[in-house]
Amino acid sequence: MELFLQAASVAFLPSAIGAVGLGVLIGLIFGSIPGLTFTVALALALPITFSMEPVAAIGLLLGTYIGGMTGGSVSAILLGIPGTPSAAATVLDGYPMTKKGEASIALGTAVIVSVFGGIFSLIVMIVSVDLVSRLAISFGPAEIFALVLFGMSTICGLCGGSIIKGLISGVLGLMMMTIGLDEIDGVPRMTFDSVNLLQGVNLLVAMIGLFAIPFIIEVATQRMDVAPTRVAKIRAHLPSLNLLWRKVWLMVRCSVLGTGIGAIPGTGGAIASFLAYDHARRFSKERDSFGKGNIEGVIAPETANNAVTGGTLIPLLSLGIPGDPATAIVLAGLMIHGITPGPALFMQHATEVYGMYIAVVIAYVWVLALQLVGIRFFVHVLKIPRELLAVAVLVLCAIGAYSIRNSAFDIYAMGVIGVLAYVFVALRVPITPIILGMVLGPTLENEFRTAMMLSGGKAGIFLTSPIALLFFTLALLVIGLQVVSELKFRRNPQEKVKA
Amino acid sequence: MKFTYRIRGAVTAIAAVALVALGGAAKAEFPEKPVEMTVLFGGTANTIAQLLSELMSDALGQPVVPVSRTGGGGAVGYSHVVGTAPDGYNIVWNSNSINTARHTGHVPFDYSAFAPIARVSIEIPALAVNASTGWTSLADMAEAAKSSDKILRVGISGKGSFTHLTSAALFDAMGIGDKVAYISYGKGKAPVELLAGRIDAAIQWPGQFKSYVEAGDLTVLAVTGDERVAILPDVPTAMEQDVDVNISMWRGLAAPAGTPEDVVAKLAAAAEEAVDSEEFQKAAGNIGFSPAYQGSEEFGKLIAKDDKFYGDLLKKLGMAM
Amino acid sequence: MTDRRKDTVFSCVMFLLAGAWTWQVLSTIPPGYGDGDIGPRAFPLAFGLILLALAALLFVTSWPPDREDLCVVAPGGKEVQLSQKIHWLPSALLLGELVLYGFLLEKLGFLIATPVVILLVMMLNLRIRSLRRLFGMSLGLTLGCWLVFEKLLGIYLASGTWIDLG
Repeated sequence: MELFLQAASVAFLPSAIGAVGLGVLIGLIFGSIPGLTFTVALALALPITFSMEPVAAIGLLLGTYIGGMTGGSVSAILLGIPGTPSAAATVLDGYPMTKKGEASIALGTAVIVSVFGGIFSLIVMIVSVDLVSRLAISFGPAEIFALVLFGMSTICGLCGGSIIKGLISGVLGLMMMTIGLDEIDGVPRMTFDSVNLLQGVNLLVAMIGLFAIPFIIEVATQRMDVAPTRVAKIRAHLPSLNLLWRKVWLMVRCSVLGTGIGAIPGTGGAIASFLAYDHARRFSKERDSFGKGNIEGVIAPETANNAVTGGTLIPLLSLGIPGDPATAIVLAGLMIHGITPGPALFMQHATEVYGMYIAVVIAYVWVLALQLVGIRFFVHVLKIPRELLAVAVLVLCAIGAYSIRNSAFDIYAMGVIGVLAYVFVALRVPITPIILGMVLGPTLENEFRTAMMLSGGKAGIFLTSPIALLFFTLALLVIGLQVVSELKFRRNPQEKVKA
Repeated sequence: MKFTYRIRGAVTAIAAVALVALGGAAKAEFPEKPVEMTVLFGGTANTIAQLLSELMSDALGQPVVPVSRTGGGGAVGYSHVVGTAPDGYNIVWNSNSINTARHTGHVPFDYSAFAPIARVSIEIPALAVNASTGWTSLADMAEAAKSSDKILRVGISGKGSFTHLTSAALFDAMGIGDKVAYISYGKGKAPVELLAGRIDAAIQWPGQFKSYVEAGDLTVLAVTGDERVAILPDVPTAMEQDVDVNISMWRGLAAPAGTPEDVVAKLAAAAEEAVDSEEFQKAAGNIGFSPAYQGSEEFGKLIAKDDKFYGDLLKKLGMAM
Repeated sequence: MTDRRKDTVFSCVMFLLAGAWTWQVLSTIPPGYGDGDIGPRAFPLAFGLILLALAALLFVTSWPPDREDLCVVAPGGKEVQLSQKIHWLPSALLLGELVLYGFLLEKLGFLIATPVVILLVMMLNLRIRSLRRLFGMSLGLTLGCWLVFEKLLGIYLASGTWIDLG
């Protein structure tokens, strides 16, 4: 308790609160602009923290991380272009809600459930950091492979009409990520001796291309063909608490899921949000309305991806292992201030750890305040004439794609992938599975290969672990159920013609 | 603060644009515009680069902008810098990766395509094992490996990575080179894999092991440099244990070959000032690297010496092109 | 074209792609070293083969292309085309402009490349003719982005190798 008060006295200093707020603001801006993500924001914020007090410095970084995670939903909902890979699942129902004129409700919901997920995971973390980190240790390559395979099985829920076309696009995503220098064996793959291809296709670049370029081409072609379809009237209504209260059980389940996945190093927000989306769809009473603007399709991924933030802090603090590139920068920020995460952290730096907990809570208060005010302004984006918006999106996305690795190759890649995505959309081939394949592909492959090396080439390693078996079973179950319902659909297609 | 500094930068930049637009500024002394520092890797490399560039900006009077060009084991960034004009405005935050990138065939040029500016820091790898093995020295480990017919599983970041090369050299020198299997598991998960007992040993940076050593979970048997490291002062070097291995990773600055000597000297002086600063020294202690300034000439010799060493090592491992 | 015929064409393109990919994988990527190392080739190869199979499957299910489409008959008995027309020209145009943008960024830097490309996109793709909008957007957006990103937030925007405005 004494430690806690000591920490509180540092964390509630105006400078610390201000630093967290600044971080949240930077994160929100980067997260909400299509093309820019919080990983870039964190890399830019890091040098600012060099000369700050430890708690304020960490607060700034955590604020940026959290603000960025919640900001990703803004452009996902308003423009159908996810601000971060973690918000890719939010597009599925968030953007249709905007088309129905419910943008502000979707945005408001996203903010509130984000805060819910974030705080939930923080509490889980405070209470059980020891237990969860011990569990996380038991996730070796075989177990992570099984988990990722389970994540892959949710592809079925993203396929829309044709499961074959969905799988094709998923495999294309997987293939794309094998291009470049192979991490494990140091061998170039499919690079055609080009240095640019050696760096591989960047996930963020591909994501920007997949969602933003079709948007721009569509605006351009609409101008040639027909009058542009205007979005329905813009209101700045917020979701009623009653509505959210009815979904609280879903929020809790998705929070648990997000926290759990966040705690396992090497996974991350995107997997969590896709799994949560699939979970919500599978257990929803209105399954058919998913993909057409069901609010549960916004609640699930947004709760889960923010619950991941608390989850990733568990291995970060207790094991010193960053779960993704963003937390790796937070780790660097901690270390530069002499706070070395790991098992000894809670003994040596208890004050700073409590200070971080408080900073997370303050960050969520900032998120709530800034976003709820911000929504009033965000929705006006929809009033901008679509052709001007398209130009702005194009420039922002090009800046975003370029800023990740400062390579013109990434702009070419964005263009090629984007035009392909446009053709796919026109052919009714779903593009979300591409993202899923790209997010999961590298982990899937690397963990499988590492597991095989560990076992000396015996595939038995996957069957002797109960955790791995559990996830394999779940994956089979999901695929089996999907096949059954697909067959039913084929037998009497008239039933679903309403689509 | 950073932001006021940026706004000031904006004003001067606008002025500069105006000058150029008005018919070209007179040829002034280096540096008359921002210097671009290409950074090849994320993680520690990037953090040190950000700090260094901040401090060098103060020393040079012009911003040094760290620009990340990652991928391909450094090949992408090196290729970019090689293609720029040798005027000192494009420099690269380089490391031993220039040697490995060349010998694994990822870039078509070698270290001589660059003019060395200065070495800035070194990082010394450390070998850790689970504390429950009871090993406390390299001799214990070598003996255990020789007396059992079990193959030791050693974690590395990836084939051809720095941790792989160091491990290979170390275990060869210990005489147990044929008793180990290398497991690649990507980035920084070594401590957890050791803790869970999925691997028997791992070579990584001391900073990653520090907290585990203090908690008594892991034992660090040796560091592979010729000096002990500051954050694990009780750990002896391999040479102290009669194993003849001296490998450390240096990081430094280089410019395209042909950069004028006075420009190189100016950049080197700025780097030296940055390395000597209190802020840099403090960060070094916290992150776990050693500041190790070395001037252009010596640095060039070091790179040349290392190039031969890594070339031979990679050839032995069957990875050289 | 009917949806079915489009699917047939799509499956053929995918089949060819998968074939080329698999061939390329087999001829350029080395297999594993054995001893548990399944090597860098296994996964790309497997993906290529899976895509081959999926493309073949799609081809079979979409054959014959002239047969009446599944589930495109709306309740009123009216035929609904679910897929949209592909506008090849605007897509190719945009791709060309993006490639040009990438090229110009490296050569002329952000401050020159951006307004040029914005002007091209607005005039060619979006058919905007109002001079006020054309110049307002291209100059405003360029300067705005430059001030906010490069100067305030510190994101590095490309500076050219031919001309460098800083």
